[in-house]
Parts: sequence; structure tokens; C-alpha cells
Amino acid sequence: MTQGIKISLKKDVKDVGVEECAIDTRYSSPKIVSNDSVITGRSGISNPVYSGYNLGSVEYTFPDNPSAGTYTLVTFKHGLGQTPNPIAYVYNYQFPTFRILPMDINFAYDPLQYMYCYATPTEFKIDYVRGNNILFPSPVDVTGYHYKFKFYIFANEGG
Amino acid sequence: MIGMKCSQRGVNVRDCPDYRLTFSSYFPTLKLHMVEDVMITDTSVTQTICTHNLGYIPAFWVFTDRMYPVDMGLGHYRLSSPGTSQYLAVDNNNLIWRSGAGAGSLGVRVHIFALDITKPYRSDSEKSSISDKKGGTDEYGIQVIKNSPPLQDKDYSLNSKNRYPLIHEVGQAVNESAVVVKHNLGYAPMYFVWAKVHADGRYQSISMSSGAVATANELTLRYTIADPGVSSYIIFNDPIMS
Repeated sequence: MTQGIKISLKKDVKDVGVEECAIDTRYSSPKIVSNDSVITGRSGISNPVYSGYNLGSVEYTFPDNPSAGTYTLVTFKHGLGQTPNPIAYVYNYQFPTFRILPMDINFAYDPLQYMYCYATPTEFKIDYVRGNNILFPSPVDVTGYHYKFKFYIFANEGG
Repeated sequence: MIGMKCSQRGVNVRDCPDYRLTFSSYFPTLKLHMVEDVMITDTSVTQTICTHNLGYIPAFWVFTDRMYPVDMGLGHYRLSSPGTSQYLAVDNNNLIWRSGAGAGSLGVRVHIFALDITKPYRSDSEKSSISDKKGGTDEYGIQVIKNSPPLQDKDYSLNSKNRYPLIHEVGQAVNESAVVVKHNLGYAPMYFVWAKVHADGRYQSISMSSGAVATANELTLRYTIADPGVSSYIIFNDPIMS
């Protein structure tokens, strides 16, 4: 017999499948593991300001006249020992709502479309790739653009 | 109302907001039906990536190891980009890769959840305000071990040291291209959106896909899809920003 805990949603727990449970410990749920305990270092081209470690949020303002290249907007070592699953939302002060990174690729001149949130076995990063070739049309001047990021880092449940 | 709830470690369960709960019988959580790492060796052809056999359209995430249009190399996992999510689609039994992409290989990490995104659900939200107030103790909590001895986070079915996204609402919009969902949470919540926007009738993630931008604020979730069709969304009790 499998041991564990099962809690149903407003119904007799004997009668429901996993879909109607608050928890069913036969299954794993995505665990958010980003918090201050895993942030061990940070860097950025203009010192991104962290605003609430425990919620995993970061603000970033572009410097004057950024040139072509890859800009790391957010980075830290997660210390999890394997590659986790990152998801980031971005708040654009020019268009004040939250959207998942990356943005729509049809908006060729929106710098958001070239921001990437990713994880490696050791680090979590949000990069912005700025260029001027066919993949990266002549970008708008992002001087002073200000973004706020919220990121979720989920433990890898596989493997 | 009879039920059970457990707060995160260090938070008083009596007065904490919903998003500080590890679980509550008011809210379902995402349960992982399967997680698989798959290497697609030829992205130019249609193929089944994994078979879930749930018999309904499940919520899913796919993380990829390439940074389309920038290849940052193996070992970099990110949520599937606009360039890849249009090829990843789910039906009642399978997650497939559609043809149409250029030839190449792609590593994908698939998450299939035991949650039917075509079946609406709305919780009776208790405390949707935002608060970081402490008041509990770090000395107590709950842990349910899945693999013993527990060595990593994945070895726990439940652990109150972690946060788990609690589902506020699962909804569906039919024959709508400009969808507006009033969530009444008072904060911009974590969300995901899937839709049938392809002739094959399968669901794909549209949260960041071409022509289907989704946005959220403290009042609503809004998104558009190219043609009036069928879409499903999940809104979580989790503030993107406080």
C-alpha cells in the first residue's frame, strides 16, 4: 500500500481523483525554491536593485546608450546542484502589466523580445541580447528603460 | 466549512494570505503526472514527444535547452520560447512536436500535470491580500517524503519549507479572440494560457507566442488570440509582485 496524504476539495476524499484534490502526496507538485537562501551572488552592468529577496523580484534600469552585446540583467548562483526550471514575468513601466518572458517575436523593436530567462546547473540568469543584424533589427534606444522582474525557480522533479 | 490548511514555515497559518500556504483544501495544486527529458533529433518532422494517456487536455510546461533565436548551448533550460512553443501541442493522449521548424535537434524537459484545463474551477478565495507579516515559527512544519532518504527537493511530496502555486481559477473562453478575465485578487497573479489556434485542434501555450500576448494586472488577465477560438487559462494565488 502506498502511504501518504490526500485532501479533497469540498468532496468526500474517497470519491475523488487526483484532479479534485488539494494535495495527493502520491504526486509531486512544482516546488518554488527561489528565496533568499539560494541567492549567493549577483552582478549586472549597472547593479540591479533587488526588492524583496523572498519574492524573487529584481528591478533593472538600462544605462545610457548601451552598445550591441549580451547584457546580464539578473544573475545569481542557485546552489541547487542541478538545473531547475525558471519562469520569469516582467513588468514594463512603459506598458504597466506583467508578461511572461520572452515577449512576442513580432514586436521586432521591443527590447523585451530579446530578454531571456534561463537556468544552468549552477546559475539563474536573465540576459538581454542587443544587436544589429537580421535577427536583431536596429534596436530602439533603451536608455533609461526600467523593468521589474519576478522569477520563479522550480526544483527539477525529474531525473 | 470543514477543511485543512498548512502555512509555509515561519508564517502563522491563522492570518496569512493564501499565497503563503503550503496547501489548503480550498485550492487545488498542480500535480505532476510526468516529467521527462526528451531529445528531439529532427525538429523538421511531426513526432510524438511523450504519451500521457490522461484522456483530457492537461496543463503542461515545456522547458528547452536552446535559446531561440540564440543558441546558448546545452544545459541552459528556459521556458519554451515563441519560436518553439508554436510547435509544441497537446491533445488527450500525447504531447507532440509539429513539423514546420527547420531541421535540427532540441532538448526538451516536459511537465504534464494532472489537471484538465477544459474543466472550469474557481476557488472560494480566502485572503488574497499581500502580506509578508511573520508570526509563526520556523520550528514546525510538515514534510511528506516520497523518496527515502530525502536528498533533494524532488524527494518530498510536500514540504512546508517550499511554496507551491495554489490554483485560484481554471477557466475556458470559447469563440473569443480578446479575452478579459476578472480575477479580483487585488494583485497581478501568476498565470498560464493555452489555446487551440492551429488547424490540428491541439492546445499550445500562448502566454508568449506570436500574436497572443497575455498580460496581468491587479484586476484582470487579458490575452488575445489570432482567431476567435478556444482557450484555457490558470490563475494562481501567487502575486507576481508585491
